[in-house]
Amino acid sequence: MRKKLIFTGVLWCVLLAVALWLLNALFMPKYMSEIPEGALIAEYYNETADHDVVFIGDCEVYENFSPDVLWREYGITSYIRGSAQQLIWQSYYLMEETLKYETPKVMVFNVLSMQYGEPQSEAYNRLNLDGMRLSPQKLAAVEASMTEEESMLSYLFPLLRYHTRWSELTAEDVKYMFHRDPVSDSGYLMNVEVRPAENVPEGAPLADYQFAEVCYDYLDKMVELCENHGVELVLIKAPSLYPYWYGQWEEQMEDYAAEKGLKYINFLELIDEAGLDFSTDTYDHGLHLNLYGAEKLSHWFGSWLRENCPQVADRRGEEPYETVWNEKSEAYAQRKAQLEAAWAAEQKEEPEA
Amino acid sequence: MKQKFAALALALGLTLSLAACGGGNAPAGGESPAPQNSAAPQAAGAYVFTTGDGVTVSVDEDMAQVLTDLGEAQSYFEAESCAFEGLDKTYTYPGFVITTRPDGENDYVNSIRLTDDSVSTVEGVYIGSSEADVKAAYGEDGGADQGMLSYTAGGVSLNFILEDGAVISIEYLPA
Amino acid sequence: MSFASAQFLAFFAVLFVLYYLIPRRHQWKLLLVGSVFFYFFAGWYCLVYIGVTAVTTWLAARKIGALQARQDAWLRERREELNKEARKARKAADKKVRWRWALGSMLLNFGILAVVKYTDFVLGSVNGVLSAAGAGTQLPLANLVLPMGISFYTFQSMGYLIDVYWGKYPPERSLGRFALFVTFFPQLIQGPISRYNDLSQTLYAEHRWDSRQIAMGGMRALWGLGKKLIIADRLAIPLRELTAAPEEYAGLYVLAVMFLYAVQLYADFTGGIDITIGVAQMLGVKVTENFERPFFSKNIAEYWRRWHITMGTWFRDYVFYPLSVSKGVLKLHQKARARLGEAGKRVSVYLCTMILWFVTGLWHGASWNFIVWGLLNGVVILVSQECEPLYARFHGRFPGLKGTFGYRLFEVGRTFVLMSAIRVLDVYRDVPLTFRQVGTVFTSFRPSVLWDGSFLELGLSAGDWLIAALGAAALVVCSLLGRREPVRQRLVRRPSLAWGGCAALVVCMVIFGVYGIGFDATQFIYNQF
Repeated sequence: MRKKLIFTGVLWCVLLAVALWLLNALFMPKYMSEIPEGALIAEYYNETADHDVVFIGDCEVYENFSPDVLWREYGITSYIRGSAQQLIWQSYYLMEETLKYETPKVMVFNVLSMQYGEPQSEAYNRLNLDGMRLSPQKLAAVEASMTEEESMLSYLFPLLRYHTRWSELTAEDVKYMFHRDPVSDSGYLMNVEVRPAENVPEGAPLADYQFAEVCYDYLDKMVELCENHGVELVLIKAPSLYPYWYGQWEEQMEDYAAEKGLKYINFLELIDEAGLDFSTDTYDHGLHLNLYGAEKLSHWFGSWLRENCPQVADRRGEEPYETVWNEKSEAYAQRKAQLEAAWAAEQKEEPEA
Repeated sequence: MKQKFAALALALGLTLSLAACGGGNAPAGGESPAPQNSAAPQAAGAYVFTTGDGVTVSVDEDMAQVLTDLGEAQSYFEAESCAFEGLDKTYTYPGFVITTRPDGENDYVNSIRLTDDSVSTVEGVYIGSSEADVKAAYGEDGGADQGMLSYTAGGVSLNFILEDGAVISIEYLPA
Repeated sequence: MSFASAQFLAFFAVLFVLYYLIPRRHQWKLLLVGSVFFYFFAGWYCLVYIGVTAVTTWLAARKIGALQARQDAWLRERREELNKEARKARKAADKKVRWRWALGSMLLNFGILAVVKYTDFVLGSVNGVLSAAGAGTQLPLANLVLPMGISFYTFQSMGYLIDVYWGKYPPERSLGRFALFVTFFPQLIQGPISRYNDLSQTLYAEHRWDSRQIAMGGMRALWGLGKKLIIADRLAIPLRELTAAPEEYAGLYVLAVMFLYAVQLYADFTGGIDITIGVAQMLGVKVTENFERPFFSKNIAEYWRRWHITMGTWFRDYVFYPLSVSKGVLKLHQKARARLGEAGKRVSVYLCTMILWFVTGLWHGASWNFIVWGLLNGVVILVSQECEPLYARFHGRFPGLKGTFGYRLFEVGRTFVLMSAIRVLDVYRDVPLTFRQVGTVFTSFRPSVLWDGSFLELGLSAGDWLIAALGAAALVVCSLLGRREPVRQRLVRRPSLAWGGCAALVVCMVIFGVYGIGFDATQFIYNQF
């Protein structure tokens, strides 16, 4: 009798746990048809082959570099672990996590997030952290990122955060309960639209241009981490015209790179050299490059890597890379064709003013 | 007997003094769902900006209204926020720049920044005014931020950024 | 630590496991440690308040007990030599001393309560008078912090002290045990107001693991949590909106406020009490019931015997009865009878009733709306007493009516509406505003708001309203099912059904509960009293 009672109890507890797990899968936002940025972080775990170059940072990396070009033109294998408004501590812990899976030759970090010394918004935190697998790095990243209203518990059990979606569940939520379609090409979120940059406003004067101490702390930790793993850390500032990159900020980054002996590239100064044309190479008036801009930038950066980072090898003809990347290239070309057709159709419908 | 009464009195006194200084702590009982009259979106006495033509623009105002009042901007720029829908818009007029933030269908004024000395605040401070001018107009207590004087009234904060003792930026922001 | 929080869940889980692992004679000590920890969570300064109350009450009660014992011994020793008068004189003299101790402790503890709870109310009222009189000066408010559950534990302690003074039972000898009685964590936040002779029966006992009791308690706590998370917190959202801009939401909205608040308060308060009693039951402690399906009452007097029972009986036992037999009231009674004859009999009853309800109102909160609310309750009760003969005549003419289902339904509905109407004072927290709002029900009654989608603008979607309605329906059904025997008592005989039901409830709570980002964690309404 007693045994039976215990059995019933355990059985029901297991059933409850399974039910909650299923509900969790159902209620998680899927980021398939909307806000694909939210699916970026988790996509990394589907990678089968290692990468020699890993980009880490905010939208200024996942919109501005095309790993496919790096492969096709230079045989460089690369991946972008970028996400929307990725804060520097999130970048650091992603770096740490990436190094658990592989040891690239070069890690590229975009420094725009140096300007944020505090947790910013719950919504972006969710986009950037929910996709991470449960690990000490994830917990640390959550801890560092949480705004006041958030709780760790809701990251461990996202159902506690997303339970209010019960009234807005769609067929997509059922379809993608246990898998996602790839939204990116090796972390690059493709966009082929063209919206020229005009009237980009100058930055408003700031009272204080000094980057926060906590940002420097994380940057120091990145340097140390890369050193310990024998990875070269390259700092970049992507060529996005907006948000405004202040001269005072540039100075601090140049000083930092010099002090640590790091390579630092400010692409804003290389716009002409890379052949970028902000009347055709941006999809949102200068914030992000479109595919054509990203390909030009990657072309330039690939050759820079070839010259300055000889440890990054040409893997063409080498297995498993050849097979993997040929597949990737095919998917890339397909996506490109698809998006271009869609954009052309949209243009025909309502010619952009 | 007397001693015990004295002890009780002392205990009472202690508790009460505790109560008196406990004011800063969070209330233990917690909030009730009882009503609190919510303040109007823009309280009276808030800092507002008046253009040279006498048009008043205030933070949180519907941008559509501002556009009817001011006419088309000299230049216009829109920035999509990463990942999410909605555009942050920047309207540049001679002497000042207005940015908006989306909320539902409409755009609302998020900041008004004065860019040259062709315009001034209602209280008479303009780009190039001295620190003393600002303090004379708005008071000595401009906050603790280095290089900046900040004043808040009616949910709007008015920030003056100083360089070498002169105002180089004036901005109205939601407090 | 709110009952509906992860911290409480973790706290209770740890306590629960330890409780049944440690030697049973230490169980009550663990409860004390846990209770102090629980209270500490609300702020260390709160511990000082409750500590002062516990220690002074314990001391005073011990002293009273000792005096009583000394008197008894003294009388016993001199049984032969003393005559009746001398014994009486000694008793009276001793009683006076004991009364002084009781009074001292009461003044201290009620004094603390009065100061922290009512200072600003008094200052605010004085300010009102000052400005009405045209004076320019205003007194600054003190903004004292109200320690958690102070009304509840103060009343519980004072009830004990009075009982000891009356000689109902000897005082508790151990300070630790008494402190546990005062601080017992499940009932700390919102009652019920337990009696010592009742709670002490199980509070200090050694408790073996009892699956049945634990299952029953667990189910009850879960059910209470569900009431709060799914129904009460959901309805709190439109209520906040409706009361935040009263001039915008007049007319029919006021009726909505009335009924929504009735359901919300019921779900919140009984939900909290369910958690309290359930949690205590899981620890083997029996806490007094505080509700008995109050919304099925047929009149207001009955309602008050079934709603917040422990508060009602406290006021009855410690305010109304002593007041009714006090010298002053008895004198008044005689005088009134002599002057007014038969009608004069009622004067003292009326007076005591109104005092009782005045105090009850004041206990609920330090503001005029609660006082008016209390007095209105008293008036309604007295009026319905006066109307007894009318009712009797009515039923004499229609003898078949009384007792029929339809008539009972009418009585229940009438009481519910009446109580909901009086309770509106509690929602708007402002007497003139409340009357203005209720007035608009008659002046600007626009029923179109019911179907033109206006109710979807109050923070709840159609789906949310549906959930709230289903939840409220579930409450009614469960109340009806539980008339003879609580539903969980039936469930506990069918383990599979019980487990399944609990699992389903947990799933419902996780999904439909109102918690997390986007929702303000509304605390149990009764915390503030």
